[in-house]
Amino acid sequence: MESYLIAISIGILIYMLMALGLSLHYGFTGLVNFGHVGFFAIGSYTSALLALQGVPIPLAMVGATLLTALAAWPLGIVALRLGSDYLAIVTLGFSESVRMMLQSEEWLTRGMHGLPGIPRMYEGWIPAAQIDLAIMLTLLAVNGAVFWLVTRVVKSPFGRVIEAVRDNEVAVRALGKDPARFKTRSLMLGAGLAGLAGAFQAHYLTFLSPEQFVPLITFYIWIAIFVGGANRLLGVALGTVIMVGFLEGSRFVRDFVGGISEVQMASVRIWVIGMALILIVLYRPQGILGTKAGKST
Amino acid sequence: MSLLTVRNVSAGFGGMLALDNVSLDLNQGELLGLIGTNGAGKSTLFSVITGYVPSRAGVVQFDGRDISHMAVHTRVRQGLARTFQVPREFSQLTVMANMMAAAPDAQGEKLLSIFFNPGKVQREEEQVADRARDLLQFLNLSRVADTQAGKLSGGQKKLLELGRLLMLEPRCIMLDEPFAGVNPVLIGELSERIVALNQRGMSVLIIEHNLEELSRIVPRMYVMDRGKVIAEGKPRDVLSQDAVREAYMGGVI
Repeated sequence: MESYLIAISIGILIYMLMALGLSLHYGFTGLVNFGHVGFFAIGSYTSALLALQGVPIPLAMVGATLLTALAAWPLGIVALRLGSDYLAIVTLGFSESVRMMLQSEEWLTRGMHGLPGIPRMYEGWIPAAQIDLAIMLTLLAVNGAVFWLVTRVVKSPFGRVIEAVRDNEVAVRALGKDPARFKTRSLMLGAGLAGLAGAFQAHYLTFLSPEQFVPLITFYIWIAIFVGGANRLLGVALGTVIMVGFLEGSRFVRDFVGGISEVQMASVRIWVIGMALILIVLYRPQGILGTKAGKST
Repeated sequence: MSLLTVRNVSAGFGGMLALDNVSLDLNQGELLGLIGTNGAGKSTLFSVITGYVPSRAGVVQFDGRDISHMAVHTRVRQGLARTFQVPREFSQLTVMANMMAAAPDAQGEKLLSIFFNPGKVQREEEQVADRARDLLQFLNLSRVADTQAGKLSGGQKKLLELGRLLMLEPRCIMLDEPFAGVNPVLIGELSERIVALNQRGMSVLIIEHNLEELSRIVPRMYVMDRGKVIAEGKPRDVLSQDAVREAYMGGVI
């Protein structure tokens, strides 16, 4: 029971890092990024491959974060001159390309066989039975630090400008600022967070394969930030807890209610998530904690 | 001396020629009007001058420099700023944040400075906030400083947009129908502010349909019709020309 709670918490906290990144993209900058999982994948594989080459895990994770942020840069240059709907398609294509690459570049990633034996965090440092707890606590601390960092960013003059870009890009240009510069930096920063989340995933699971990085992951995060409120960091955190908590926790239900097969349960899960999303969009479009867009009526 | 010079500019959308060989001069410190029927090409001219719409021919100069090929934001940085016919407020930000977002080259727009030079960022923020408050006072918007900009009335949004431009301390402002949708009391107030800015040395170019109010404040105006400049001069002289009356008022008056 306790170990299960720890596993759920780790899942929530990894997703929360990604969600904070996506919140920066969409909630604060208005970038419709449908390829967030691509950054997650780049971070995972980079950190795993570096660690497998003998790079110390903390260093590999920092390297993965930076490389993922850098990977977002060319995407920014190409995509940010496009309107938001085009950006959605380009990012989705980007994340699928990343997944295909992980599948086909077998010399590097072992393709569909997956990447086993990735060094686990804290292995050899603390007793094996306590590693999960230690990973959870580390993730908690990292999430706290990231929360502080992102809060500083969105409350700064930089944060004001990205919000202005979200509200009216044409007007930002009329104020002598180049929206592309701000969008690129927001994209890189959020991508870096997804990369960091990926690095944790790699050194927690110790096994990676391309099918862990399907677009569904991206849309889970979208639902999480929608539920909580995309432009409120606390809402984003809450949305992630609800979303991932439900996804993982619902596996429990079968232990209490007899006669449900795993397949049936999976259908119920998707059904509940779909209903919840519809209800949120209908009755609280700004999310549980989000602030309403000011429109004079 | 001419501050903004438009020479033989043509522009269009597809097969339609929206601007046909247009020339215009705005002198240093001048308050200049631009009138014309809907579709005459006034807003397109604004968009060509500010770089939102590419020109097919001709030159735009600002302060003696050819700005025809500069990006929109680079032109603004030369000191040439504009408003839009339909206000483009940052709807989810407060009025105060709208003003502060306009501050040019804030140190705090650099990610590293936010973390490694917070003192400087903070000091700049205070200066910017002071300037924003002064301007809000000047535009009579202090009461709504903490209101979300999307909730303002149409007239207040126009004022806010003007305020945001003034944060840039531009040398020339171009206003696209500043009086449209603004209630009559506020119109008087707004035009008073525009005249006051002009008296402080700012060059102003105004597109406006409210001829009565415009003729009251501008000493000189251009008239456009179907993509061409058809007249230029003192409002009283211009408005009595047959061609202008024909084009602008269908010859009724």
